Amino acid sequence: MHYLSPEFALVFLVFIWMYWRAGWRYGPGAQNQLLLIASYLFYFSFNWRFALILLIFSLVILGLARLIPDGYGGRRRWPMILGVVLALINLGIFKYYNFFREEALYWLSPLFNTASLPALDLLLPVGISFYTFQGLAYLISIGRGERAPASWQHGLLHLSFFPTLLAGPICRPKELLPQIETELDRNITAPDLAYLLLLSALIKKVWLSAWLAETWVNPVFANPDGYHAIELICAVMAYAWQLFFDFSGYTDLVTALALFLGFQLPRNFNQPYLAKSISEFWQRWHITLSRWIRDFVYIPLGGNRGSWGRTQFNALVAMTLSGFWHGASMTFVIWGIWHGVGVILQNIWQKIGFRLPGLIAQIITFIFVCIGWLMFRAEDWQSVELFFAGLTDWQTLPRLNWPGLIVAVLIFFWAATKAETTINRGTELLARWPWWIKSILLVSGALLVIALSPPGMHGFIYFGF
Amino acid sequence: MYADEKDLRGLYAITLAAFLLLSLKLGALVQYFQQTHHIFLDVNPSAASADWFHLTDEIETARQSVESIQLQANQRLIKAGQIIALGDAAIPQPEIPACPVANNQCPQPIANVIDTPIKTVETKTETPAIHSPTGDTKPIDTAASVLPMADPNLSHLPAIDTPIELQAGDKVLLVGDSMMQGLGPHIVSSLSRNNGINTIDMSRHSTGLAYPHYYDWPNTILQKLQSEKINLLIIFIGANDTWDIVINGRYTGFGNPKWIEVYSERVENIILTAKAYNVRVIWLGAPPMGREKMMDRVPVLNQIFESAAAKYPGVVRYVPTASSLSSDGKTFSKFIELPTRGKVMVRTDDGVHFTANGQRLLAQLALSQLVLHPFDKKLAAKNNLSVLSQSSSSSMSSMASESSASSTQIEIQTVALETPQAVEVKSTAKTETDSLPIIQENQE
Repeated sequence: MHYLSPEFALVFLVFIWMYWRAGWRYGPGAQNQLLLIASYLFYFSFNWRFALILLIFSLVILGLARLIPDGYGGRRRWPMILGVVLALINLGIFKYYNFFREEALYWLSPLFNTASLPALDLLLPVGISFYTFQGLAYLISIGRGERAPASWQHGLLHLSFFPTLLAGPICRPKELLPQIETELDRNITAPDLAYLLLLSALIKKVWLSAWLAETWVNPVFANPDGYHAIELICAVMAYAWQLFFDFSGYTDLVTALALFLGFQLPRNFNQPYLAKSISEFWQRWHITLSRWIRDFVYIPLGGNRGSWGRTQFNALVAMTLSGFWHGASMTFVIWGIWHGVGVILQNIWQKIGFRLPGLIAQIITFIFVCIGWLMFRAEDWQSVELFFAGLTDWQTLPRLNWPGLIVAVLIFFWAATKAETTINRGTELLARWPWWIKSILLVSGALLVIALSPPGMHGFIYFGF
Repeated sequence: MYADEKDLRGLYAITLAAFLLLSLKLGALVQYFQQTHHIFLDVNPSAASADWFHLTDEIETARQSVESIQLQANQRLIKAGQIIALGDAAIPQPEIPACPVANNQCPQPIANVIDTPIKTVETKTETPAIHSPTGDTKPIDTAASVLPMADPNLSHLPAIDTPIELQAGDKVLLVGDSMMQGLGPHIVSSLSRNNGINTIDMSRHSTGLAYPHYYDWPNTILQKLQSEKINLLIIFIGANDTWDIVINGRYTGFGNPKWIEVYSERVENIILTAKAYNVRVIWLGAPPMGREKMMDRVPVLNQIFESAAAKYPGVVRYVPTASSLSSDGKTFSKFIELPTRGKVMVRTDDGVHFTANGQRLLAQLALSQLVLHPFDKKLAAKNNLSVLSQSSSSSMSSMASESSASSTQIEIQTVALETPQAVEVKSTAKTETDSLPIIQENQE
């Protein structure tokens, strides 16, 4: 049951009425119980095993977290370390086992003819990468003494809260838990923002992302040597924007859902393609993952407290791990290394004291990120090579409307600079109107998007991670 | 405690929006539920009148005119883009065959030639007749442009599945659902890289033959064949067709005689279209599925595909996929044993789609049905035979009986991947007979 499916919309509608009636009558405690049941039922609708795995994972993490305070004001270290190890093993088995198995067999086979590792028929629980990181953040923050362990019920809800369960944002305990634990009545604090986010999600996900995928990304990436170099360049740009629309559209949607439940989620995107450097890009793209990597990988490694060289090494390791988090494949690792190298180059650049005008820095950053996306999209290294080989082909007759795409991309860049103010003004404007006008606007927007977009249901790219 | 006024208004707004959307899009919603959850069969609603609200004709015409303006602008921009990218080379040169005045034996337009009944079918020369740039023309080898079934004089010949041979510059059309979307790219890149063959991948997820008013494949294929010269059509569907279909506004349960009749009609419709345009068809059977509701139903679909294909030998070849993707050739298996790599995962967790390995195996299976020739892109560019451009010069496959004997030595291109023992690569050489091969002609 995906967030953009009619089933979800209908169930969610019934649910929020129950949820708010329970809140008005019994307060946030009752709402939490409903949320916990709904979250598990939601996950159960994908596969009952997923729900079971999540439950066991949560109980282990929460149980270990409760063992951390030693009762005398001090803290034990072993539950935290054990929890981190167990969580990573759990993630490793489900997400990386078959990757390591195939890689190991590939490298072993010349040496040992009979090399064999059992193939496990594992179902990758959707969202496992996200809730594992959220659980680790919780465990470590208790290990560091930043907060006391949560109650079982609150902890379970923190790790299963259905708007964030499948693909983030990866919440910190200090962001989501206080909102769960609150004794004060919840409110739909920003309904107008929620409507706009819903509309924005539809535009980005159902229309733009699907349109880019169908007319540009899928055909060109499927057969790069059949296209002119300009078309290949356009397809990479199209993919960059498709990814952004897909994932940020998804984030807008779940942020709106959480707002309707009286919750506020951390921000995950801030117009990443306006970034003027690679490190700035990562402060704007998938923000909750970047800061997780920063706080739990980069800084523990030493961050920038050591020598200059050590700092670069730490950055490279952090970026490579971030790449590997995205998927069990060498192309993701190389993608991570690419960004790590980018950060190092940028640091060298800064050390020399070289500066570029903002626009040129932005263009270079965008090109760099796009080359990265090429590896992100590719199934294997061979297809990356094939794509680069295609860039030398200036003879094939272009078959796609590439001038149109360039205009569209320029519009996307322009819109990115205006997005923030548009949303703010839109909310102010909406706030003045009666509720039924908002409904009509929402429906008209939705119908327009449906009419403009290619038919069919499109999956979310980031659910696969 | 009482309801907060602001919260209540928020809930009202979202509820009203949902109801408005629901009522405007009820038809689509009913269809969606029917397709995904296989419900409403018992209720048996009248599917045609499910929308509470219909677009009036005026709105529909307005929509269509906007669409055509869009299409036109799009075409113009494509043209502009071609000229910017390639300069004058992008402007198509009118191909007027130079006709020496002294000699009155100028070839007729090829289109006319096809209709001319020809008695002799043996090709006289092996060299394809192409207008040489110098201007002197050979008479077009008319025999090469005739299809056996197009010629009434040949109807007495036994119908035998003939080899499907493709030449550089030929065009292949891929049709199918999300399964085809998985293996399409592998076919596209292999054919283009190794054989210089253009492939148009029209596959589209969530489609099939069960819901023509959602996506009408027979008509889409017809339009494509009308607008472009296609040599081979590869179809791979079925993942979305194990459901009830709407017949005369009523849902009819999967597998009913009526269901089978209607579905077979749609399958044959596609085949007849292909036949009318002299296009060979490879119909890939649906693989065994790992989902409960689909498991028992896929064989029914395959039965329909197979018997439809049997009616038109020489046009359609039905290729079952189960043997490539299943350890016992019948039931769903997520992993299969490959001779060199051991157990390899071929299916994804959803029980329907394929992993990259599975896609490659299937692409290999499809490609192994073809007789292909290695192709050197650089050499072709040198000879000014731009196969990838749309104004590709016509290449002919004049393969007559004497040349078919030599085709046993033709290298059969396969994807660089180990063949599982289960897949027995069907050598096209084996199926060859002395009967007439398919002879095709590009007429651009």
